[in-house]
Amino acid sequence: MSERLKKNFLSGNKLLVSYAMVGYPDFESSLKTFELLIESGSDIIEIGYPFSDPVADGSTIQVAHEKALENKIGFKEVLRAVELLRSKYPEVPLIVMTYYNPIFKIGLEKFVSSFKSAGADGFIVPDLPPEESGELKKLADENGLSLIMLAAPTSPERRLRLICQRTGEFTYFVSVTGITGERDTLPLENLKRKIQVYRRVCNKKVVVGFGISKREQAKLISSLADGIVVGSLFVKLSGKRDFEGLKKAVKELKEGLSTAS
Amino acid sequence: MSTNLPDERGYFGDFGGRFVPETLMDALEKLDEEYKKAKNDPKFWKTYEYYLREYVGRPTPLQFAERLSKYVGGAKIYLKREDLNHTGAHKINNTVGQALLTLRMGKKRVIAETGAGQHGVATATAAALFGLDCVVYMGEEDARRQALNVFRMELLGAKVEVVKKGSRTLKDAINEALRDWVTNVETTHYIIGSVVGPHPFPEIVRDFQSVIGKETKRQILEKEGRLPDAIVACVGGGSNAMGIFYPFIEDGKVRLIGVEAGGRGLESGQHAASLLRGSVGVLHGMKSYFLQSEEGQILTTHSISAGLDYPGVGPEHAWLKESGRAEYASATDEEALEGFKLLSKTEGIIPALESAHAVIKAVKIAREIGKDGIVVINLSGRGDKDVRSVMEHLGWKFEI
Repeated sequence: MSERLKKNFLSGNKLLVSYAMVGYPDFESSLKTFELLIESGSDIIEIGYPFSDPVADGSTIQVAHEKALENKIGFKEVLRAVELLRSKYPEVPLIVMTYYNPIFKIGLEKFVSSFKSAGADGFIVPDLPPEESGELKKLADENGLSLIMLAAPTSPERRLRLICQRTGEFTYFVSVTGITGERDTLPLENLKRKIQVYRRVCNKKVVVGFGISKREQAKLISSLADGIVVGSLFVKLSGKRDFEGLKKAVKELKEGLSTAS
Repeated sequence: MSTNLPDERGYFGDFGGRFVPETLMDALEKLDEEYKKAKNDPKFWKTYEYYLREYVGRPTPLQFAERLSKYVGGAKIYLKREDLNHTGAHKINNTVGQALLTLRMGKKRVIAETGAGQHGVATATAAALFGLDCVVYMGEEDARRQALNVFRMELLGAKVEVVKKGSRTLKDAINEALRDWVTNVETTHYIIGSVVGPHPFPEIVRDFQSVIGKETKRQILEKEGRLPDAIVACVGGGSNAMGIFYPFIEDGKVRLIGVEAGGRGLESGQHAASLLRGSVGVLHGMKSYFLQSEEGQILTTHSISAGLDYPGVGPEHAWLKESGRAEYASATDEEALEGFKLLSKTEGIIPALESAHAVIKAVKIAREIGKDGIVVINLSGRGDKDVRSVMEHLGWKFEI
């Protein structure tokens, strides 16, 4: 288990988990994006690793996958991004997010040990459900990394138990049945019920993601969970190289989190 | 050789499984449960057979291709005439079955992906027959190649969503259908069109398509009093091949030969031969063979036939290949065109470009096997949809 992640959750604060894509709109701008996300107060960083067929992603993040691949971003480049960020920020947890095929094809052992050496703290793999995660989970454990499982509004209690048993430091709860992308409204009541069930069967931390981009959403959702994940908004701003906008967005979301009940 | 696969986890040997976002896991488990019940329910199969007989027009003939056989001068060639099904291809065997499953699950909306448009048309048809809402995802490139099928689907009451992402072909249509399913999983069933996808889809589609092989077995025994030496079928995702192969898996002496799209040649890199030139990976919910880079990025494919233009293949084919039970070969675009013209001239049957890959490979095999042999070609679809693109390809101009 990653010490950095553990420490982070021990603070008791509601956490902001921020996602951006390596190589979008270009390698240097994405590094700058990650740096600004960290320096403006993100608690955990998800490092997006591009894949040709991102089925869990909405159009904003799909474009980032496509563009990053056009920019020739692959295994080496994402490793380098993690190394650079780690050397500059020794404390912030870095979690690599990609689909299973790149991990599988590059080789689970090589993938995990390389990212371990680069300074990553774990992985999120949206198309790898607990049933298929055994081998990657074992390698992550052996290397002291977290494999974070996703839970969904359609996960019955039985599956929430299984997810809880398999996940690393925390669970990533998907807010809606759907793909990533900003949304004006979120099904809060349903989410509240689902997270109550989760809390009953699982004592691991839980953050909620998909569809969150506004201060008010941050406030409402973090009163149910231990933190929120924001991706599409940051990817969109990063794509426009709107670095002032990024800083402002992080600050607003953090304000939302700090006023949560 | 066991036909008792997949196992409980959805694996055929090392292939298959269920690699999807968590949001879909509960729906797949429920589908698996419901299908297990249906599978053991004689009433379900009776209903299924009723529609295949009365609506689809089954059984389809196993026709002795006399002039083609004569032209080839080798083994006797039989054609399993799936082109004579309602809507013109084998795809409807599966869509009628899955539409009945949809009704069993109490869902009112179906979605589908389509490449050549045959599966889209077959899904729209079944949806019209059973009163289901229907959305079909089709890549922009394919919609252009098969504009007539787009109109056909609209006529049948379906909504066609043209996918302008990625390679704009079948792979991207599947991605988009999966995104729809993740969003609407509680009300919607995804009628996947081939023996691909997460468990239990490869099993369900194979079972519905295996009617092809069951009929073929009965018919060849009636006509020839023995099983064929070889069965030849084209393989994109692999549903028509799986459908005709499956009932013969335990008949070890019958060669099962799948023909992949060789495009502009295997050496050109512009093809869709995932079993011959791909490597093991995970996409669209399954572990199987894919055309991919060394770092696991899926490659774009090429085939003259939209229905074979897919970078992966069903997991049961991967297993049949690894276990050595089936053989896989390829035919190029040019060879497929040769098969297309040959069958038209010798038998008066214009085959789908997909099936034309099997036709031309079967010609070679029939010559190798020789006079005493019997070869069955699965003629998976008719070629009306391809006439226009072949005409353009051959540069034929209408002159009076």
